[in-house]
Amino acid sequence: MQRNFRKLPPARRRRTCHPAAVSASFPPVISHSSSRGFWESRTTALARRINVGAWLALAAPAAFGVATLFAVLVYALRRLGQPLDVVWLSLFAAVVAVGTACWWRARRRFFQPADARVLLESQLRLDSRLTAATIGLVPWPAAPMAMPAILQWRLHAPLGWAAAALALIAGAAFAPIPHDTTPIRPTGSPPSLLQTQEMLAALKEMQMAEPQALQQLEDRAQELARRPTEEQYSHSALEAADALRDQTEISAAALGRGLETAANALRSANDGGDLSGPAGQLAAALSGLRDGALPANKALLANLPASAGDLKNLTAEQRAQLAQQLANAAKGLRGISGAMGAGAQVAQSDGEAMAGGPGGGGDSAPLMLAGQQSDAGDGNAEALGAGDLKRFALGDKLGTMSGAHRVDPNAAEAPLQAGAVAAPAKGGDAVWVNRLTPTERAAVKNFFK
Amino acid sequence: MSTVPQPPSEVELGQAAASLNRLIATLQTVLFGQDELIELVVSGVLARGHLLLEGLPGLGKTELVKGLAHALGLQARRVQFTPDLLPGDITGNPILEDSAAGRRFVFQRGPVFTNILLADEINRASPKTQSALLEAMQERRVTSGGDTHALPDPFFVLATQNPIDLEGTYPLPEAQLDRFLFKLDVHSNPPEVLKRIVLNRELGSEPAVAPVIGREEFSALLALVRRVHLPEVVADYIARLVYASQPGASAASAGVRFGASPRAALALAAAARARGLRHGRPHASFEDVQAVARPVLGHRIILDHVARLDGATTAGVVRQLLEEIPAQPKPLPGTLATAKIA
Repeated sequence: MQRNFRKLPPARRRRTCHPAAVSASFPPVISHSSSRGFWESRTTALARRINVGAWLALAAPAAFGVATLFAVLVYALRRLGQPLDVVWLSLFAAVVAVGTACWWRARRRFFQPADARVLLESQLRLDSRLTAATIGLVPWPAAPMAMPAILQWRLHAPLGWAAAALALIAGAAFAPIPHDTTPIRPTGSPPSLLQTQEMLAALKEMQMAEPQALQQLEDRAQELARRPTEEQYSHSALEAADALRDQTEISAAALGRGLETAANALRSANDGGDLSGPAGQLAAALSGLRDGALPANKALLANLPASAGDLKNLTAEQRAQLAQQLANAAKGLRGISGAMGAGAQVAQSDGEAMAGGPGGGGDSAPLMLAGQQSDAGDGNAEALGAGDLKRFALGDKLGTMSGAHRVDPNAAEAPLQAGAVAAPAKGGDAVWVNRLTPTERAAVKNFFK
Repeated sequence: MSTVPQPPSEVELGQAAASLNRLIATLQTVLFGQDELIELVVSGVLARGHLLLEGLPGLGKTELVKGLAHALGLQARRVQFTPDLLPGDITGNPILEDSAAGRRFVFQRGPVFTNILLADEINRASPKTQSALLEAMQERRVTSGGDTHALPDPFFVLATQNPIDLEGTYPLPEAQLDRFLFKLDVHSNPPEVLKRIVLNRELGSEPAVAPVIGREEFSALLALVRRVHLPEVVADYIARLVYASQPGASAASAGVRFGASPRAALALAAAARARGLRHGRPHASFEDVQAVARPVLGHRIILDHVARLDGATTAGVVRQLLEEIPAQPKPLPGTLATAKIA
């Protein structure tokens, strides 16, 4: 209900002891409609700002959640090399949907114009004049010259959420994709196994080695080759392949040295003189060829002279020819064994026969005994085969026997003898390649720095 | 169905403002330097409430009450409450009267039968005597011997009490405290006011106060206060404020053991209306409620012993309530805050 208010006469206004009461009770009405319009527009604007703030308080964390999900999706698609056009459109649609949902949920916190009016008049300390004017008790207060700010934004939290959301999306869109570090799947057998198979094929072609012994080595190589490719490149399988290759090389080298020794013995028999010495050397060489890790072919052994009498029965030309054949075979075997064979020769104290004494010295070990046969003065020195221990007496010199031991292809090979020179120097560091474990190799390198 | 009273008209507001200004000016000649106290006393009286003034001796509490009574032209009686005061000494006693018709008991009215009862040092009387005022303050009547005797209209109890000398005193129970509309603290005066007192007063002499408002005019003012409009948003604010004083209802009421009652809400509304009329408005406002909140709620909120040990006061609780409870019914979102306006 609107009232027509009259202004109080000035005298009566002066008698009022509370000036604020007069000005507050009867404010000068410039224009009723303009004042009302002013306050109602301010009230509406204030309510709108508060409602935006209420929506923002809900929408900012929700937008961060959406951004997190889409950041993961964008990064995953980039890793897979998929296009992102649909993702950006989906992100925009999701943001709009979340914003709408937040608006719907924030409605109960929205300010109505009546609520905003109360806030406005309490902040401006208008003594509830706006409310009273709305119901017609008092006239609308005059519009102030300058409207102070009623509210101030506190946007730290929403800006934080928004910045975090943008950072996530930007990181997902522009973060570098790491290269594919999938290891190249090897195909085929490891090189050491291939080398072993080549050596065995060459040995088989030469027909110098005992077929049965060769077959054992081949069986082991085939067992390793039959494994799946991934297993062949496992640490233990590589170790087993390396050990088998080393064993084949060493065995071939030892066989070659035995043949060389036999050839030297035959040549020395043609030098004239007593044949007992060359016969002894030849017997020792035959013993090594028969009992080595890779025994010589039985047929070959049968054709070789086993005693001085057998030597005497051969002519010089026959001995020379046989010696030449054996030397050629030894050379071929050295070529097969490669560095192993050459390294084994370096380890020898001299290039002659490796027999260390009566009974022969073991020629499978890299460290050979002296080539000169020493006369211990013990009478008849003869080699004894393995197992014939009843004939030994204490103090008798015994020949060293090399018993071939089974190499477990699955076990990692330990160095046969640490520090042994297994290969000729190829610039210096090849000596240690196939004998030391990686830890020992590194320790030795540090020592020689 | 109750009808909404017509709000005061402009003329009525003008007349009321003039009368009240005269009254206040008169009281300012009785008590120097206590303008805010005088404003609250006048507002309390306009709200038909009983007032409790607490202050040190010699601050003029009794003088103010006597001056108010004289200025309003109302009958006033003073009762000095002492420990040996009996309830009958206040309300009255039946007296055996021997007359020609025979002996009969006649109720001899006590000092309570007056317009303004000045109860000096009310906390010195025993609780039994204090409770004798309960019915009088609330119902404005006295019951004795089965007979009910109405008190004069208007009826006010203006009580005083001394915050020191607590030995031998009886603190007012909460039930009686709740019946006082305002509990006002009377503070000491600054030097310039003391100087004015020294120059204008003599020890033992009372200032002469002439009536400035007649009885009928005062009754019209009391009726006018009831016609002051209380907007619904202001009533909602009062309700939220009183509810927030309950234990656990707000952060401000953390140390509160007992909060304000619905009577406190009615008291706030009445006092806000009275203040609105005092300021020449036909309606009560949020500022009126905030101005009278402390005198109305301060003595109605009971703190627990932990809060008292921590040094909390009811005045501090009321101040926190006013800061915490906004005028608008809905809180602002976290992204906005009210700006400080000078």
